[in-house]
Amino acid sequence: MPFALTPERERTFQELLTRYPTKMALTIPLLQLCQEQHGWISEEVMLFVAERLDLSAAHVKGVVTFYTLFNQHPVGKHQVWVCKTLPCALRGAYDVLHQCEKKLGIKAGETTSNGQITLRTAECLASCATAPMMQVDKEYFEDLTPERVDEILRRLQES
Amino acid sequence: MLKPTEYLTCVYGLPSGHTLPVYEKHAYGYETARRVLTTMTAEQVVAEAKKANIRGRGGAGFPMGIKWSFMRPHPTKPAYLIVNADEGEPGTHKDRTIMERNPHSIVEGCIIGAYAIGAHVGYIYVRDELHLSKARLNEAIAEARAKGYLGPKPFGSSWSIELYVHSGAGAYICGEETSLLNSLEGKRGEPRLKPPFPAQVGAFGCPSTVNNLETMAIVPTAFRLGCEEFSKLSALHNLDDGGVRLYGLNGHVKKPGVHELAVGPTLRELIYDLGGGVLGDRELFAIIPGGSSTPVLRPTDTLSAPDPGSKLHAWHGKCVLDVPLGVDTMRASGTMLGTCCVTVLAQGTDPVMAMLNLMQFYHHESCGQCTPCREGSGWLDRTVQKIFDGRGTMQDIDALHEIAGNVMGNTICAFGDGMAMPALGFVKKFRKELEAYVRGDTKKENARLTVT
Amino acid sequence: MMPLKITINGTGAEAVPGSTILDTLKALGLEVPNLCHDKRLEPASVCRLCEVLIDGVGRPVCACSTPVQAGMSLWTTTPALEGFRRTMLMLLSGNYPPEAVEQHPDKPFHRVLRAYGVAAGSALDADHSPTVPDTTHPYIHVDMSRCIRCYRCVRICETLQGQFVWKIQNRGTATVVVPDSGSTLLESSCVSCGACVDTCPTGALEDAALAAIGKASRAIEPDVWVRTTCPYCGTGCEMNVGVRDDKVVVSRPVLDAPVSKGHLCVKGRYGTAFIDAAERITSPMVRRKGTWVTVSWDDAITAAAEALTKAIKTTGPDSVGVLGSSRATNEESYLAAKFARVVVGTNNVDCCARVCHGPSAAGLGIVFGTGAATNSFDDIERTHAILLVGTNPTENHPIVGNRIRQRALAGVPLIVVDPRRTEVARLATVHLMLRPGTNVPLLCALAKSIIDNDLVDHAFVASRTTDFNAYKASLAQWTPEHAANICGVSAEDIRRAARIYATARPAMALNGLGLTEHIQGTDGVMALANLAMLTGNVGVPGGGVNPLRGQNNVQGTANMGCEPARLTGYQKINAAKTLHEQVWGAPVPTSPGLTLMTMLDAAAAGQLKSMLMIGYDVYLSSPNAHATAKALGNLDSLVVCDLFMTASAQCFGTVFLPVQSSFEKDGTFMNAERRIQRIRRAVRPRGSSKSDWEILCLLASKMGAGRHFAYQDAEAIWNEVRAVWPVAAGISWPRIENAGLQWPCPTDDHPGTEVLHSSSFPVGVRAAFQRLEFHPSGEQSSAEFPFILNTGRTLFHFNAATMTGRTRNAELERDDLVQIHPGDASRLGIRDGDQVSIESRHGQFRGTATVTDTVRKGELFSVFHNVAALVNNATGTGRDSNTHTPEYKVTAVRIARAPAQRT
Repeated sequence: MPFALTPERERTFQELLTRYPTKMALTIPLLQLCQEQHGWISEEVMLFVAERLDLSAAHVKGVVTFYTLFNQHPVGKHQVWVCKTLPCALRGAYDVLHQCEKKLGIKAGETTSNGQITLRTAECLASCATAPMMQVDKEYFEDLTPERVDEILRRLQES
Repeated sequence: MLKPTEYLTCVYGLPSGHTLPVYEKHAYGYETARRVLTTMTAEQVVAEAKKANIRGRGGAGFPMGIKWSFMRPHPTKPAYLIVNADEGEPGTHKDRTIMERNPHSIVEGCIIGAYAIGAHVGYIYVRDELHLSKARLNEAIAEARAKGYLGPKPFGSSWSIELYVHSGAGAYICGEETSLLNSLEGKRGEPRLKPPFPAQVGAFGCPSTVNNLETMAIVPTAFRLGCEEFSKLSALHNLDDGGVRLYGLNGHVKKPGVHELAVGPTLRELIYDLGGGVLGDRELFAIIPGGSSTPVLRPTDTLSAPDPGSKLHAWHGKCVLDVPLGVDTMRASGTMLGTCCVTVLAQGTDPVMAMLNLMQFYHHESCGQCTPCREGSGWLDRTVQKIFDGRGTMQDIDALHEIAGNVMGNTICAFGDGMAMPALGFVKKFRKELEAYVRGDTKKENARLTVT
Repeated sequence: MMPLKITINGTGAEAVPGSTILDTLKALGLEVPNLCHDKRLEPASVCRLCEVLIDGVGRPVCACSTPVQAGMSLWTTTPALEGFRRTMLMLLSGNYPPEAVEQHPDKPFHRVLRAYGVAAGSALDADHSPTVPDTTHPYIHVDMSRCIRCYRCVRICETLQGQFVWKIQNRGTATVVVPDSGSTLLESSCVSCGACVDTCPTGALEDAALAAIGKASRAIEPDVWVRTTCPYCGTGCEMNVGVRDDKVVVSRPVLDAPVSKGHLCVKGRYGTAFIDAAERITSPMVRRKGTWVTVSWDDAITAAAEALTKAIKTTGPDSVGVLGSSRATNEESYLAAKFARVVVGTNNVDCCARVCHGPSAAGLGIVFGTGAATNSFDDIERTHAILLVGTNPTENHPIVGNRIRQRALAGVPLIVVDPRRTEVARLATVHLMLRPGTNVPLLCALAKSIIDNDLVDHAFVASRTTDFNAYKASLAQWTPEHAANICGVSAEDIRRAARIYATARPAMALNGLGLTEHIQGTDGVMALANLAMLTGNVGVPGGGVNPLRGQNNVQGTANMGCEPARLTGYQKINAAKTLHEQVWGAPVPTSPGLTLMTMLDAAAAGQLKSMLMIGYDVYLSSPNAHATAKALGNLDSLVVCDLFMTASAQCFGTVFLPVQSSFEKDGTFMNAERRIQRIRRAVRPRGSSKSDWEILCLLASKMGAGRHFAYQDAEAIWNEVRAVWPVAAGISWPRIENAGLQWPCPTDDHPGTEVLHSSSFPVGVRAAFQRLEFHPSGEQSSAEFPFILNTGRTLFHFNAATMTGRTRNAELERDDLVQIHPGDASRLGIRDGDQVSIESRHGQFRGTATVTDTVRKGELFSVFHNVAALVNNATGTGRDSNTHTPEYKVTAVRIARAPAQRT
């Protein structure tokens, strides 16, 4: 079935259109609206975006594959990003990551078999003074300790 | 000498500190923008701004006022103000605090900036992950708009200004100003060739100024105090490096954090006075002074300014820990000031593992457009990995130097230098440690980045 | 401009102002390596290898993107720069297949690797995995394991071709270049122009034919390269053909060609296989008792001469017709025209311009006095607005089409008058999607709108035209509303188009057969000429009225006198008779000649007895094929000169004389902008084939007129043309050795003429506005025949597909497509790919349906390339009243699904 935005997101899209001098500028904002709705950027989504913005699907794909936050495959209901860049690594990021992998039974880049959680590593999330940290969906969890990591994952798995 | 200030941070700890009422009550909210838009011409604003000696807070340190002065009215094309809030340089965590805790300072700074450069529209490009930052900025814009500070007639003036938050989508390179412009236009975030510079051909082919977010946030303060007075707050006013700015501390310090200080504290003051010293009271092993792209320093490094005529000569031979942090002083110390967020490495940290961590970062983030950076990033990562894994040779260490040395200065944008400088820095300052891996004296199984 | 003084490696040098450092170094033979630049592209500076140092500049700069400045002191080969280059080559080649370097030693990347002593494949375990070559495309072999990510293919596809096929995906070391299909190149939007192959520095993109040879021989460069002109459409692109073992193995664009500027389309680039097609006939034949029998040249020439002589003797010279070939050279067409007049003694000589741009030549001739394009293709880059009437240039004149597309993409207003939503229509500012056959009302309404809104160039009208008031009065009824009603477009769009065209100053009009192949073809052209005069767009750069001629030399063939009422140079017979008789030493007949169409009429009526048909398949390409068959079947003799056994020859021929292709002979072609360009022999003539001019000389000699036909070579013929056509007297072969010249060019020092009529017309200082009446086509849709059929060409095929049908283009697109609107298709139960039967009151044909909104409801578009389909069974009898050009573009038909029969 062809992809379409929900009426509310369609209104958001229409409002965003007024902000830019070109339609192409909506490429990233519209892809984000679509991903928020659909969870990932499928071929149908790319065709939809291309059509709405008068772009080629190939242009849209070039953009999608450039930016790491566009999911090119289906992902879990929740996404956990563990920051692994140096300032976090200096304060135990690798331990946090291993703890997550162990707890969830998956490797970074994978999704739990129940489709609940996708675990990933992130590059520096500008939270270096509160390292180690991880991002769960849109929320930051900082100054992590093993106990907090357990608690966060437990709550996620239960949600 | 440490000179803490609270121009930006005065609302950080207050309840609802990010809201307009608090900003107006505690931070002279929008008084300056009102005065500037209703009493000054754009030319006067630019002339005044130059006196503030605000060196761009994004890392390159280009004087903001001079950048503004490059803007010339175009007969047919609009001008755009672009604010770079793609904060992603490893070890940098200052802009996020402003967006989350004092977003109105940014909005007010943008109003002044847009007016100064002749723009009616400004885009604040925020990296996607910073969801709270985006939300706070959007709230602040809505509040300001509701009050009539933004919109068709800000403060009753005739210069309409609209401000929009534009989200990135996960690409460190988009912190490079021309990549950011491409990304804003809906393209792949690949840097553009310069010239033309953004002031001639920027966003959507129109004249544009791209400023770092902290740069914009401090503008109202500078204009409130008077730009020259503001500049003089700095210990490095005479080096045209003025005012106050945010300093970050992270890594192996007891008290990581963000502090607002007059420009010119020393690393020793930051690490020991504000940071409470090195974790576990260990010896200081190395310092990355301003984001991962700034070459690593050892505590034994010194500033070099042998020329008695140099303004820096007073610090010649002085330990880097005791030199005021500034654009020029850090350059003379063999590194760069960068973003003023300091990453501290304690004795016991494995520098090869640290280098590998950074090379993985650059390999992950290279845009792939130009040959030296695309190929170099992969080769550097693979070669350090090989050494770390115990498969390396002495030639591999030389290859690291050769590759990084040839990436340096030879790429389309500054990313190449940003990758090559730390690579060269680590090879130069930790060659012994690299060789130990090659000889098998050090094994990756024992390597740690954490200390207790 | 004064050269700039600069210093290079410590030595003084001079540079051309405005050039880049790379250009300068190249000019001085001090070239530095560069892999990402192509002079047809904006510099991208991604490979960085051409970096040089400039004294006083902190960082090295790329020579390709940095302009030279006076006083610059450059260093190009310091140890640091050379070390940088060597390191970069090491990084680039670490994971590069070493066998590619060996197999393809002359690729730029491989040459640079050799020069720097860098061995490929030093780190084959690097992080991108080898890719499997994509061999799906008939012409382009894709092996991305050789991709060094210079992105030249991406950029050339965008900026030269305008097609956006190659795309960059992923980032960093994972960056790949992929076709827009995301899968194979064959499935992509590729139009097979080959530009990406030409620019690729490694062979990641390679001509499939060369890649195939490479496998066998491991060294695949051609032995020799020969510069010549493309044998397909009238654009006049120049190509270098690569020859190996006397075969054309590759064709590449000539970078500095004045017309094509380093580009070709699929036909010129890849359409050369017909030269050695199995069906090519290379020995003369005569038909005996109904079957073709191979004979000696002498026997064949004797048979042909006897046939023609018999007709001349028994029923008079005017019972013989001669058809020149638009595929042949100017020299050959000139001889065909001379043969008719001197050897046969008739003005019954014509060519295929009759069925295509006859009305353009006639209309422009009537209004301005010169039957040719007023301006040049370079005016496309100078104009401020483009008006396209009945032309589909991105398919039919792709190189011109690309230039128009680039301008439209850059924001130049584009008005398209076309019943179909063609590629240019999709880019148009205003697309006037009119009903077929209504050009004249539309163009009249544009004129009226311009006058009513006072957008007229009064100064031009006052000084250069006559009859304005009468013309203005004649337009009274053509309000936009009235025309909109007839044409099926909106009045508002007519007004918008009028405003754009009239206010751009200059605005350029280009027309195709959509304007001419109507019963009002000549009127349509004159209506367009009126518009140009009204807005002062005549005689100015960036303006004019410019027919896009269909065949390589259709402009030249009519111009050389293959036209019953005209002699060489399109000169009227009575005006040029004396000069011709002087040079020819023979009388020029004065009885009025027959056109192609009236020759067929005369044949059908038993008055025309014999025809000499050179390189022209009249039966396949003429409308109303049943009538054509009757006419040709009635001839006593039909002598055919061709490469292949055409439908005409097969069905009606009596003598077949095998000719040489344009790659086997020397001569000149004349393109649509009046430019005369060389063609050159690249391979030996096949079998015993002869050039048309040799054949004409043999025939003339056999018929007793040898003394008028004694030429040493084609150049000698051309020199005779110059003698009888003063306007082109200055165009000698030596002068056009490297770049063609545009006539008028009367003297040896004349530079040629880009823009006609800048201060006066051949008809005088002023040209007259033409009052026009509208007579609707007799072909109107009805209950019985509810659709209007339009016919034309596509990108991948050419006319009767005599040549393209013998190439692999057939794999890229079918040659029997019939376009139908989705609404009509679903109503009639027709799906994409279905066999359909189309029937008119004249006849019937079959094709393969393409369901597309390119056509409007109630209209069909059929290509006419397929011999078996014989689309012209269905086309009708309508003819332009002035030139007899057939009404190919309007036929009332019905369409139905047909059971699959043919493969």
